[in-house]
Amino acid sequence: MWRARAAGLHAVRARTHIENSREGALSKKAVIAVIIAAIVVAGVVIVIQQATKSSSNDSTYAKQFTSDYPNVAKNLSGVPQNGQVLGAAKAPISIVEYMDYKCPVCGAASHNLVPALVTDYVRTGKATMELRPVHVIQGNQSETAALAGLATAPQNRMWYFTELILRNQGNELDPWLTQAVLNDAAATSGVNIAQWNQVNAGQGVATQFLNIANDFASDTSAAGDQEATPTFVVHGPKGTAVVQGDVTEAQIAKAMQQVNGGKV
Amino acid sequence: MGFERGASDFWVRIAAAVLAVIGIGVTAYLVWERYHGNAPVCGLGGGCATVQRSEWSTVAGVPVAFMGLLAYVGLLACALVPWQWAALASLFITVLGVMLSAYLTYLELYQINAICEYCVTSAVIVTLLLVLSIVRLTLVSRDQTPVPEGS
Repeated sequence: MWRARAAGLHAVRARTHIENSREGALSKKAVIAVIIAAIVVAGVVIVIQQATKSSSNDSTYAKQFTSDYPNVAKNLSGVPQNGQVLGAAKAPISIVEYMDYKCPVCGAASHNLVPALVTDYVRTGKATMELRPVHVIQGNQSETAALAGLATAPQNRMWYFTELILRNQGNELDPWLTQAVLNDAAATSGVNIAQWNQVNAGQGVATQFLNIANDFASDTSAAGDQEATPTFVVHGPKGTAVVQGDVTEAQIAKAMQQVNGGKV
Repeated sequence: MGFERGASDFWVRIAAAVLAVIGIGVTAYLVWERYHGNAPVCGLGGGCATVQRSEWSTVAGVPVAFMGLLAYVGLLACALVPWQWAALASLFITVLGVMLSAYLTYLELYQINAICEYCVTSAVIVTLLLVLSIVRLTLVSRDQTPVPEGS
């Protein structure tokens, strides 16, 4: 009787041993399978990231910037650039342009208005022009571009960078203004990328951007206007005038006369 | 002995839960700043905004920080339950996290040329969580060790 009981107990113990061993072996397989699965998933994620990155239309912009650079350079070459300001510091009139990198009217102004202003007033020493990027268009790309644009100012390449982007804009509603496009614009503008990255990452441009936003609010509200881009604020010895929207050279000339005692 | 193993497993899971909560804090901050269009406050060197705005900061349009947030929430859930599958799930997430963190660190150093301290913090946290996952699995497998015959 006791022998039978002992044998039964032994059998149960042996069966438990076998089950435990099997469970242990299964766990090892499971651990290996989990590690392999994680490695495969990591590889898939990296491939997806590379694929989605390379499928963007960044290279299109790089080509556009390269082909348009001679036009921008022709307009800006020989004109002194000091940070955000284009033109001789002693000019009696300053024209501040509040712009958004994704604003289509700002893009149109870069084609139709800015080259004429540079030729007629900046190059001749009558006025300076200052870029002040703001965030008006929905989404965060305008702000990212504004910070990137301000970060080119210490290298005196902001005008090249800005005009290249404004003149080659994508659709306002599309997320075309990626970091790669900014990189391409900076590289085409002759920006030292390492220095630019360093400035762009600092708090300095962020503070500058906030100050510009405050100035934009005060300048437009003082004139009884809305915060819209482009806004041209013309400062002169006799005061300040504000012109907004799809502006013509004649409107700017009139504003210059207004702030300079009738002279342009 | 069984009690000691159970107690060890408990403290390993507590440590993992604490690290997961820190990871949630770090990644949630980055997600918050991203969706509000702000540059993250960066103490050392100031590369956070550059990394956060880089073309490598998303995978198929999904921000990497958001993926990290989901991973840490998953790791917290795994730490809170004592089951074997949770230990395996924790291992899966941490191996994946360490590999992707290594890849992102490579991108920061050699492609973006900027270091994001939040990303580095997350990489350290996920590495520690991987160690804890291995310790936890070791404890779980010890609990399954066959009872020696005659004992």
